[in-house]
Amino acid sequence: MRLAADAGPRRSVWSGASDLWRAHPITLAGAAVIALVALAGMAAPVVAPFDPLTVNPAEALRPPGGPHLMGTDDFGQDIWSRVLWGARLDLEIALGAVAVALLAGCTLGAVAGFWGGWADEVVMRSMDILQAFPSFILAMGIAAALGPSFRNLVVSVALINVAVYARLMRARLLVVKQALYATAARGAGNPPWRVLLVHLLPNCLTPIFVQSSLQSGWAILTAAGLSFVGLGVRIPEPEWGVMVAMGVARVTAGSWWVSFYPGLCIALVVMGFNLVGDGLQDLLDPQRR
Amino acid sequence: MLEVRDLTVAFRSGRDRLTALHGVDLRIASGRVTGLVGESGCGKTVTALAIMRLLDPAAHIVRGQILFDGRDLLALSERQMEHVRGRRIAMIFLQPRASLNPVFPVSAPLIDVLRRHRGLTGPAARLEAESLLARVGLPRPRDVMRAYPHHLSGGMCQRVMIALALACRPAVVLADEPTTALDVTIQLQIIELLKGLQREFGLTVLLITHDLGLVAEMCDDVNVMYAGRVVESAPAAVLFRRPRHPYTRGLMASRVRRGSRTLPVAIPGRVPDLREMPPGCPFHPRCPIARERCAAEDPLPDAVDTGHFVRCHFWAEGAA
Repeated sequence: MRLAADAGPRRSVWSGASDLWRAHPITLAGAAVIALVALAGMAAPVVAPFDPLTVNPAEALRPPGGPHLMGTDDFGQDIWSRVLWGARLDLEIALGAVAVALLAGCTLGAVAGFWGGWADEVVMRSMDILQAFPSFILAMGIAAALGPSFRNLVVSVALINVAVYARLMRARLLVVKQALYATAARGAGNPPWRVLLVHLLPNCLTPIFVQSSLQSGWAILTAAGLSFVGLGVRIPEPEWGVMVAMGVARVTAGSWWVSFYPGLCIALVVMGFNLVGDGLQDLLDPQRR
Repeated sequence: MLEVRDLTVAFRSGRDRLTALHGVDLRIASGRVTGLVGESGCGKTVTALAIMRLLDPAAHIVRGQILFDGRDLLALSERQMEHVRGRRIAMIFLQPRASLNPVFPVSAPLIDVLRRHRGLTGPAARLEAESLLARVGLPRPRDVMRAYPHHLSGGMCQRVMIALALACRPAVVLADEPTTALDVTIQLQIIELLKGLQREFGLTVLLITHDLGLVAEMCDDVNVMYAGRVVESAPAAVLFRRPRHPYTRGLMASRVRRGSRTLPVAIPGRVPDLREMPPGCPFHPRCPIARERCAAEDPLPDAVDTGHFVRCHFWAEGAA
């Protein structure tokens, strides 16, 4: 009797994960950036030295230094405080949009991939229509039609990503539903819906999670972009895209800090999500367990 | 007793309709091991999947009956069938590792089946799963419970699949080439295990294989399939002593036998493609005793003796 079971089963998932972090320092760096931004967002009410919305014309356009770590903008609002509050708002938008897109996309993709036939045709042709537009233009259209607000921003950023998840899910399901363990699960008396939810879905999730991390970065970029052009969150709100927009006119006049810090945050978070997305691929491989 | 009558299955392939099974008749007697033998592509697996009603959506059952527990399985609703699968009829597949879900520990499907069909939950289910794993000869079953399929060897995976098949004490086990994907040494162990379990529980087994040695080792009754038909059906002792169908004789002659001075003889030609089925008897292009009638007319089952049927016009002739 050969015993191949010796190595694996005793190690916990977590010790395996910590090994992986050590082997992938770049993924760790990405995760650290996201963790830091998330912490900043959560701690904003406590940490921020100023109220993000208080206007103080006497302090307008102060350069970084003194009480204002990152300077102030046209209205004398403290940029450091606004960046902290922005972390909260932008992460909420990004994660909200990704969650909505993930749920809707995966459901549609699962139905299309598992049942096939006309359901597949209807779902995938609708996705084709969504994807026929350049995504930012589509997001602009949806946001403009719905009107600028936090909720509508989330909805429009989510809608342009639904097709990505639906396609991923469908493609993966088409592969795994042919697997012998799918037949074996049916052979053990499982009804089709249970085969799909319990036996097949967990085998489809790795690419979905990887994509979610990448999409979170893009969602922040899109949300900031929409706010920048005035279709997302509105001007006094501490949102990074809005803040960049407010400072654009001042950059040439020398007040670079108004746009620079929120812009830097956007770049850092997008990079962080992308780095984590790359590492997740390895981390979630079931063969590692 | 599980009885398959006149089972005819066709596959849609583009515009064509390919018939994979042409009126298969099969009797699987209770408490016995019935062999289903034939070359690859002759319809053995399709037969088993049809019994489980797990055929691919492209396949459809043209006619026939599958009688079990006094009911026709083909007439049951999908809901009723879910109570038959796993509980009354279980299946073991060709590739043990691929039959186990890679993202779950191997105990997951066992516990799932025990909960679904025997109502066991929590510690009771875990205990029963562990004792099942021990019963199929896995060492340290507690560790195996937590192992993922890729931690186990092929033989161990097949033992897990056997435990899974036995979990609900099914009336019938369909074993589709249970040893083909394994090393020769492991094959023997698995055969011994299957034999032991079959005797212990008085299981009814349909053993699908292309290995005549395995048939001789395990089966009480044998059905030889060729091109979607059962061409000969007899008790194993009779079939090995006096094979009647020229195809069965060819199979016997192609065996490598210990102590035999004669070299194995291959059957000339190969199994016809489903798209190019010859008219009449499908075996006639390869048959040493074929005549004109064979190309014109597909023979019907003919009784040689009680419990011994042959589909050949000329089985009585040319016998050695």
